[in-house]
Parts: sequence; structure tokens; C-alpha cells
Amino acid sequence: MSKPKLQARLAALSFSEKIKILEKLRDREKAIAASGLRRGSAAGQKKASKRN
Amino acid sequence: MKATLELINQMQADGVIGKYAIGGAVGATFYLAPAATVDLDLFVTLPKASGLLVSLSPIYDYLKSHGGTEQDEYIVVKEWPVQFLMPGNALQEEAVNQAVSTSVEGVPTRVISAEHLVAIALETGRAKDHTRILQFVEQGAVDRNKLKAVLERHGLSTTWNQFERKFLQGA
Repeated sequence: MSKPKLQARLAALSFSEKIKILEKLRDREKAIAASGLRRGSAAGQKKASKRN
Repeated sequence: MKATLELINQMQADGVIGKYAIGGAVGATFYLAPAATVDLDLFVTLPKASGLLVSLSPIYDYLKSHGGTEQDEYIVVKEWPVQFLMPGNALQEEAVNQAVSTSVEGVPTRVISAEHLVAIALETGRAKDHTRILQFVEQGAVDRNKLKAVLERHGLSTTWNQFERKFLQGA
């Protein structure tokens, strides 16, 4: 599936479904940050993980 | 998120806050494909009787008494770090007043309109804000006429024209 088609499909989901995806993405970010896989200081990791 | 919004709604019902609306990346997710974020940005108004001194302390006190914990500029509410933002200008006040009603897993909530999210992002003007504006435009998630009206009302037309010239030539 092309990226625009995938984006359109994801955008068409209900807000509740999108929030569930956000929560999975957030948990993955947390797990990556906690594993130390990212280089740099803890503060740098926090900034890097903050997408908003 | 459901539990977070339930507590925010209870806080509103208890008179600690007035209106609120979800902004930031979570707000944008209402209109766009989900994008990773670790926090929830909430624009809140305080009850009219709050007086001249404006403080987020009552919000923090309430949430801490209901299990919230402070973490940097956030308060973690039921696993979601929440940043409370009070409208700092007429655009943000209008954004809260004209927010869209929706629900998350049956819990009622409000989200800032796509046009106001774009206008606020334009006003904020960081690289990630510009990226988000482009996502709104490219995914056809913003009503150009409504956006134009919001931008004109809040003196952002020139900034938008510059943005268009720089990033949206031919779009």
C-alpha cells in the first residue's frame, strides 16, 4: 500500500481507534527510551521522544 | 486516554476548570493519521470567578489529590502526561470556544478545529509546527476558506502567504 493511501486509511479511523494507536506508539517510545537504545543524555532522549 | 479524559471531565464538573479543548499532536490526530506523541496538550479556561490572578495551581492540586503526579512541565494523569495551557491570545481563546465535540471510547471531549490548529501552528512557527501544517494541507484535512477567515481575523494572513510561498508553491 502506498504511503498516501495508508495515511488516508489511518486518517479515516475513528478518534478512539486513533487514540489506541497513539497509546501503542507512546508505549513503544517509552520502551525505547528505557532500554537506552537512543544515544545521548536522558534529557536529550526526552526531547527526542517528544513529538509534539 | 479514556481514564485521563474522565478525570478531566470530572474536574470540569467540579468547577476547577471552565472549557477545555485538546490541541497539539493528539488534537491533530483527530483529523490526520496518528503521529507519535508522549503528551496531551489541553487548552483550558478557568471559571469566571477566578479573579485577576491566573494560576494553574488549582488544576494541579485537584489532579494530585486524584492520583496525578508532577513531572517537569506536565502532570501525569492516568498514564498520560498532560500539559495545561491557558489561552494566551484571541486566537487561542477562539480555538477553545469553537472546539469540536467528540468522544473517546464513549467519553465526551472537545478538540480544537483543524483550522485553529493550523493557525496556532503557524503562529508558533517551529519546524515541527510547519511540518504539521503541511500534513493538514497534504491530507486535505483543512477547509481553506475557513482557514483564510481565521487567519484574517487574527492578523496571520501575511505569515500564511509567506508560508505558502515557501512550502506550498504548486500545492
